[in-house]
Amino acid sequence: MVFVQQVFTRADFILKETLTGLRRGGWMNWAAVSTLVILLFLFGFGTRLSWQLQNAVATLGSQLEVSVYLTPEASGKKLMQKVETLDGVQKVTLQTKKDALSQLQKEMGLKQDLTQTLEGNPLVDSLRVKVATPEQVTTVAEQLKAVPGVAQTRYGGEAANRLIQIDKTVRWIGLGVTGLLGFTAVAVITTTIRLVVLSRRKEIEVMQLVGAAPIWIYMPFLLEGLTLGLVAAMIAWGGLHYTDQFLAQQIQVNVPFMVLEITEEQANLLPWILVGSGVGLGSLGSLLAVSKYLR
Amino acid sequence: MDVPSSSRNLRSILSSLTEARPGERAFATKEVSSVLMPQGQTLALSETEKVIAYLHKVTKTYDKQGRSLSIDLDIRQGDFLFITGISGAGKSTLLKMLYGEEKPTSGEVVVDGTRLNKLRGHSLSCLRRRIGVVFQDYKLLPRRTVAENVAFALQAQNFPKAEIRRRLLPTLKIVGLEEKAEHFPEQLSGGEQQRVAIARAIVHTPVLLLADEPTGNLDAGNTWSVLEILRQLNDMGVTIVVTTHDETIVQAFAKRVVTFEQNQLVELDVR
Repeated sequence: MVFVQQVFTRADFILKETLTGLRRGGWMNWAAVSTLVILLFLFGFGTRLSWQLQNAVATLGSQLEVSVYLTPEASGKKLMQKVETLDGVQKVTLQTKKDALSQLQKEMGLKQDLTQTLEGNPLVDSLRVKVATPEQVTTVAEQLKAVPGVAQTRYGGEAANRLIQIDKTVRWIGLGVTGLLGFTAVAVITTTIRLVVLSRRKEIEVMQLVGAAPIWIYMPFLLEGLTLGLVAAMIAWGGLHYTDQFLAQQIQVNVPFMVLEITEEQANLLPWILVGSGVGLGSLGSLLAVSKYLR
Repeated sequence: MDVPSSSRNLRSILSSLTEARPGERAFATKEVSSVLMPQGQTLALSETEKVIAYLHKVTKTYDKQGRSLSIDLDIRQGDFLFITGISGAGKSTLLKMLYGEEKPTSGEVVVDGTRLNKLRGHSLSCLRRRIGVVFQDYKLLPRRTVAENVAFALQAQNFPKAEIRRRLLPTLKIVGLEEKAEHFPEQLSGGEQQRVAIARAIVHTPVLLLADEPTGNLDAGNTWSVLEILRQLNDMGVTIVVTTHDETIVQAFAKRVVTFEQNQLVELDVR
């Protein structure tokens, strides 16, 4: 209770000192904030991209369908029965090359008969094989590959594996870049706060001599670092928000089939991660700056 | 020098400051009926012999050659103790050990019942709230007025605003600066600045006032007025420890004198 009371009686003092400190920091504040903004922006961007890829992987990986493309000579109808007997196969649907062509024609919006233009149907029969459980997808796909008449198989897991690779790369690069920038940011913040500490060393000395509690002496500096972190997090969040809108628009226009989404929880979590990292790095920087005076 | 004229006047000011509210600290009212001696015995001491701080079997290594000071000293309630010696003899080091700025290499430093040997952080600040320190270079904050400088000590110790107001003016009266409360340090003479520093050091009614070469930067007139204030505070019951290398003021003011002889602290016979 006493502590809470003290916090309130001293709040105006500490806030005033914090503002004075920020003013004394001058352009160094700008250096600190901009370094932090770049760091947090890249960190946020990387995190979001990683989430998007993971979500895509999850979607693809949970697909239970294997597409089987046959050789031009093979007949889907004949193969169907054989495929249906395979372990793990739940259901098989046939798409003949004739159906495939007319669907293609429809998708392309062509009125004329494609068989004439192309001199025959270049497509092949294909089977859509529905697998019972996600774990069986790969085995079924392997078995299908061995069946005579099967040219190739496609299933979501393959694409998922590729995305996992990309995600891994993104994360490693992200870790390296944010690690390096994090170090820089803390160094810049520490220097900034240390300059302010130096400009106030006389007051600090007097405060120590008259018995001010260390926490009251250093609180303004901690708050200062924290403020820098908070400001940087908000700017980075704004930047991320607008680049996200811009990218989503570009994707919609240029590659509409690409689905890169993050869940609502993730979207809500991202600003807190940025604020947390910004405030954390800011406080760490100021702690380092005052650590040698903390005795 | 506009030193407060009559001692009686000062006495009334001080007593108004020290009218003990329940549980509140006041000059000369601290009851230390017994002091735990280093040997572990508890000795009852008479009124005049209350030990409020002591350094017991203290050594302090001060250079790489391993040379060290050796100090045994009891500071009693009401002392006006002068520490003398040539510069570099260890006067300031001794004072620093009393307010926890330096730690002894061995031995025991106790002030007002608190052992200082390993005191740091919050406990150290709590101890310093019971001590006042005055320096040769005053250590005033240049951008704050006299009143703000004095109030700063109370603010730093979380005194309520009303209590700060109650203490400010009487304290400035003690050092004769109530007229200059709104002046900035640079508008004052050295002697006046040192009196502001003294006001700041006593405004929270400490049990012990330490002064490190308080007159080192002052001319004779100002030296005299500052020491006169210290003596009047001592008359009120404030225990004061002063370091100086100025023999004339020692002879004029000291009740007790200790000095360093070959790194050993010895007590001199004053009378």
